[in-house]
Amino acid sequence: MGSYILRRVLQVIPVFFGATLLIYFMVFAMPGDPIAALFGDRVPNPALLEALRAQYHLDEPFVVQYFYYIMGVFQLDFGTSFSGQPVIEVLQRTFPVTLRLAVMAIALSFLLAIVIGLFSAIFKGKLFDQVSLIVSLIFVSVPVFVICFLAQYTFGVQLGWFSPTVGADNGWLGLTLPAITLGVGIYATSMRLTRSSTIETLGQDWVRTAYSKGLSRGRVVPVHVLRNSLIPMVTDTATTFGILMVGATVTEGIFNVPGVGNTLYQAILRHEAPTVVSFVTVFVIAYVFVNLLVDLLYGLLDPRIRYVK
Amino acid sequence: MKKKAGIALGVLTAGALALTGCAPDGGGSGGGTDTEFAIAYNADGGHAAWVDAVVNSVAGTLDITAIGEPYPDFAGLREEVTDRVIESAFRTGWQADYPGLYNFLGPLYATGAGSNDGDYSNPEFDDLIAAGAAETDLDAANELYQQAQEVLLADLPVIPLWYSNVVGGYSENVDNVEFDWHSVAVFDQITKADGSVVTANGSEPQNPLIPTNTNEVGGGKILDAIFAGLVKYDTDGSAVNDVAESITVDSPTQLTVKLRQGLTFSNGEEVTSDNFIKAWNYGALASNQQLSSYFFEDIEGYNAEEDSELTGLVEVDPYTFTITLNKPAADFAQRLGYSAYFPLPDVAFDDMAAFGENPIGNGPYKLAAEGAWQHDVQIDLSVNEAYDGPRTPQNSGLQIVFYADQVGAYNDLLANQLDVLDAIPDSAFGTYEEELGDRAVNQPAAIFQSFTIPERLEHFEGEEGILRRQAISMAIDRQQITDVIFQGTRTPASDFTSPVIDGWTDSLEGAEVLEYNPERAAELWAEANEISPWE
Amino acid sequence: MNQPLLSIRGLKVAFGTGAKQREVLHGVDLDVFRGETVAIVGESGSGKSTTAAAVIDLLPGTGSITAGSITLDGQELTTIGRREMEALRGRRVGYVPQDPMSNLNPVWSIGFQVKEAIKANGLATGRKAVEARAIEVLQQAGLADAERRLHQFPHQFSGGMRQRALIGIGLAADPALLIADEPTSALDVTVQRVILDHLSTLTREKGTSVLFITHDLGLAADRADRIIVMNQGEIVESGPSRAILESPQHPYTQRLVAAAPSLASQRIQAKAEASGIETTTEVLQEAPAVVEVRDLVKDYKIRRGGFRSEPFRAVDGVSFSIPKGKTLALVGESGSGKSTVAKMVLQLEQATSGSILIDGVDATTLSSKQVFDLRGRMQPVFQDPYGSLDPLRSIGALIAEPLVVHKLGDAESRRQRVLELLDQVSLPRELASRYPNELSGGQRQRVAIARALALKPSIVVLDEAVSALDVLVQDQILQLLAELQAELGLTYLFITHDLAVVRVAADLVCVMEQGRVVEQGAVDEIFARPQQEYTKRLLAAIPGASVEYGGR
Repeated sequence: MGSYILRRVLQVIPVFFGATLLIYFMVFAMPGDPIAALFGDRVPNPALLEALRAQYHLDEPFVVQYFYYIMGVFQLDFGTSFSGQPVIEVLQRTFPVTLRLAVMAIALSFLLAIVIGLFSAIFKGKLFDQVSLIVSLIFVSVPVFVICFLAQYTFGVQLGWFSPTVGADNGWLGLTLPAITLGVGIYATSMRLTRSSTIETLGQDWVRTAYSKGLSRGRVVPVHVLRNSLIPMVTDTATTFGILMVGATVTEGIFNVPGVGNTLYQAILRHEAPTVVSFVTVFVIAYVFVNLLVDLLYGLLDPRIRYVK
Repeated sequence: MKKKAGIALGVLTAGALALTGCAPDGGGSGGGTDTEFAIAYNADGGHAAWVDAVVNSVAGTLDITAIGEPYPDFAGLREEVTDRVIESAFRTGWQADYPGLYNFLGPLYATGAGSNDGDYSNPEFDDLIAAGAAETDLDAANELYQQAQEVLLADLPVIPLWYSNVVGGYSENVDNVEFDWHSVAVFDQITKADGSVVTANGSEPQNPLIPTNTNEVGGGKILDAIFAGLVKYDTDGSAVNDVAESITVDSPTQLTVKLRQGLTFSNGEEVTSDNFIKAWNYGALASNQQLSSYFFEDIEGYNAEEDSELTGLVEVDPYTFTITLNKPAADFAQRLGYSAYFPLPDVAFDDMAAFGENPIGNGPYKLAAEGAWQHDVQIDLSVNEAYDGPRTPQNSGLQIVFYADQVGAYNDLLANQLDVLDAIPDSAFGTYEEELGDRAVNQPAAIFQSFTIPERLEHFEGEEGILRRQAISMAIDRQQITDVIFQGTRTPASDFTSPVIDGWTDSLEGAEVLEYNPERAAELWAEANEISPWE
Repeated sequence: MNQPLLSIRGLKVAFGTGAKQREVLHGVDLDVFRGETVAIVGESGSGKSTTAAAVIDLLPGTGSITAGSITLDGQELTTIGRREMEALRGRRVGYVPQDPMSNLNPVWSIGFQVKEAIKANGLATGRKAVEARAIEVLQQAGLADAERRLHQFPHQFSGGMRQRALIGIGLAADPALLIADEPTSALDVTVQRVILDHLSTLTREKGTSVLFITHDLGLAADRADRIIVMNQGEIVESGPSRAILESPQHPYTQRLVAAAPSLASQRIQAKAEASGIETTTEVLQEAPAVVEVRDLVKDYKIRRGGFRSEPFRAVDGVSFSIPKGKTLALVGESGSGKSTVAKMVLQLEQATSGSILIDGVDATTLSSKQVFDLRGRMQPVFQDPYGSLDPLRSIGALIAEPLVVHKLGDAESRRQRVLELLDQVSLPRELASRYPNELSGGQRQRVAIARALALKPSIVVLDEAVSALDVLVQDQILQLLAELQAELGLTYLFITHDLAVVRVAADLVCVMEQGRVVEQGAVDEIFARPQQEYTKRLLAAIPGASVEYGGR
């Protein structure tokens, strides 16, 4: 088990170098001079431009710039943004917020998806199933930002149940509305997945055998159906997590959540390589770890794939 | 104008081309080269709609192919403009730093000026601007600037389009909300019935909160609240003394500043001549790489290349200092309300980085506490009891909330969660007046928008160029575009400055070239074609 | 004893609802008396499993009882509620399902699944008592070291062990009636025998009635007091086992008795003993060897965690040869290495060492082009006629596929060849435009054979090619294979776990155990005078040995 985890963790190293190099290059290759853009339509003094370029190593060739960045990272210095803030501080500030949002969205949507999906499967073809299908189709076909705007206007402005935006109130409670709208985007897929895997499990021989043992439906469904049906859901979590991080950018913008999405978007617009690269790299590494976690959880749920003999 | 070059944006160009369906010969199906008139813009700034409208208007009127040419982001467009490699017209805009006519003209159109992106040069204009700068009487100076503008109307180095309005509103909880020339609400006047702090929209400052290193609105809005300069601007743009007791213009190159005595920073430190002189020197010093250092370039001793003291600043006594300029700038006193000229307390120079995070000012507000600036979230300001001046707050404090997207801010305003919003999102242009009623604000601002047709482009030099510029200008139905695309949130331009600026007039000679006149446009275009056919 | 324990009268079961409703049981009557074992025998689709499922109200999907009655101990079961039925299941009616691989939930330990049954039936309370009872149940079912096994998961159990666990669960509450639905058909013959012996002992001791569902008439005759023969949802004949076997009355039963390989092999055995046997030397001298395998070895690396791995020898020095026009059967239980040998002969796997001579040429050293040509002369037919036919292509296209791959002939000549092949495998020509899902299992296997014959091969490798088929269909396919062999001079390599089939179909037999050939020779010789203990055990495990054959 230990060696398995170690191996998976070591995989992060090539992923780290690959991701940073690639993203750094992509930012480097973006057309335009980010320093000149800082001055808007006003053309700054060339001497000042040169000095600022030198400060951010923007006057160096790509390899040198990348080298500076990597050397910094080894000293836990992820560089500074153009506004003079250490990127590591920006990361520390924004990531917990986005993580909170993502965890809440996953928790809310999965909880609902599992319950509704399970009942849809049990009542396959009945009214409940059909209504839940229509609702999930609506959810999946309406773009995230439309849902966000609708929710913001309806619950924030018209009904006044929530504050339309989050801002400083970014604790668990404050993120409820954005988390719900973000969750809506993944609910539909998760619900359909639960439903189909539950239908499949319901048809398994061991379910009939469980009934033949004299077990009641109240026991067979949670013990012999739900747990097996959850396995594909868990695998799906890793992918969902990735999708969420992307969807968070839109949601964060609309609900003014001070998370990674908005900061990253601004940094891309400003060609701030250290910020962009550090953020995306943390994304990538987080993704790798979530996958590891999911694989371990998978083993926990399904004894056939435990890693130790 | 652009001979379709195969640059990386080909796909986007093709898309834009499809929109100009009314243009004859579009798509280049005929033989020979197809000459197009193109306006470049940055796609990240929400310009696509009006650029398309403008090129369609031009194409329809002049019977030529005209397209919008999107660049993915501002940096990319700016680089091509600065390097003079751009092969088409391009969008330009100017927001005034201080409410003076010179600010809209000198830096943009004087021969060799820093922001003269089209390399315009006309000795007549240069002379008038120089004469204006040397004229210490403001009205006389403005008269000279207006004459200079008439030269511009004849030459059209840029095609004026419209003035941006400040489109905002305020909540049901506040009263006495007024927006100033700079598109920002006058926070100190606002009253709030329940006595709580006033909330306003803002954006995360892109730089530490150091006056000389802040050149964007996010940080500027905060600095204006926590600092007081020698002068402040009234809503109509006129300068009123704030920290200054008096500013006398001794000559076009010499000013004497007297400070009011007994004013302090919020940490108790007294505001003296030294605080100004040291702050300005800090801002001007080349090695400090301050983004607003160019505000000091007219002061004697300034050197952009290497470190050099501003020898033009001389302390007479703790409350008096003189400013000597290296060239005539009669409007210098008018500039002094801009944030770059704010004083700094001595404590700032001990650790400027720390100061930038928790600035201490002498303005009507101060940071509510250490760490009141929550990055990406908001900044909390409380009333600075030490402030004594024309901007004494009528409320208990100010909270500036940073919004990533104005739609969220607007919804907060509708829900009365936000008191003041100075940027209604485009999506609400159609409904905000109805939703806010008399709490809606829509007034011209000191923002001028245009597009530049550089003289170096083929067909746009000399006499032919002037004819073609005039034709293009008259081919644009500004009123219709501001009504339809902007729903009345822009005002068609009648000069090169802004109506909120002291000395502005809408009766310049030659201003008819900015009016929609399709027949005259076609005539002028035909005349130009006789000099050199457009093909 | 006068009143039956289970009594079914006029039972009708249908699937689907409304207009799509389809009746699958058309009025079944049967009785099971106390302590009696009754076998229902029939082919797949005959309704035998449906009858059993109806008793405990576990009909799959949309199935429902439309008419008739089922009484257990005089209690009517068709009208009782869900809770009453839940109380009855496990406690009064035990159930042992068919496939031990799919009937245990893979995510719960064996102990959990046994204990759950004990708790549900109120056989013990308290953690300790339940655990003790679970161990007892598993021990009774013949699981050694049950205590340790309790914490293991299904995938750590062999098929036989799982079936023991399932039998344990089925009998845990000492039910009056045990329904055993093909309880051993997925297991190797020797394991099957041991488990059924054990089951018989248990039920005899406890006086449990057994309703035994099987497709194997021989097996039924061995294990049941009475046999009920079902065909297409109806009972065609029933009576004491011996009577059914010795003098079947209904034509269907007669065909069944005639076709059952277990019985047929016993028959042939008897005849051979009477008329002298064909020897190995005779067989080998009849024709030159087409396939010759010498000292074939296959090693696999098995990963042992980390970067270590250890070699595993799946095939260990196997040698045999097949004369032209003859059939050699490779026989063994699962894991014996017989399929690995087949894959190496087909060049689907590389041999670790040894040689495979096809027509005298060593196939292990061929270039990929030569292997491609070789495949034209040597074609496989696999076990699963469902899995090996692409459902999206027509039968004609499927049969013509090898011709297309080998670029033989034009469209018209290919069409002609397809029709010719359909004739050869006795399928109507119209089938060329149909799709696999419209065909029965036997028809599909004929299609697979037709496809294998498309390139006019000289060698056909039949990997469990008839194992999934019902007895009557199996019999037909075996006959077809024999006819084709005679007609086209084909040489067969026949891979099977079923010794009974070997007896009917092969000339030579190779018995494999753990990668080695333990015994080989002419079929008659081996069956008459097995030398090895393992072979003897295999032969003894063929069901139906105790029965006098009848019919014809």
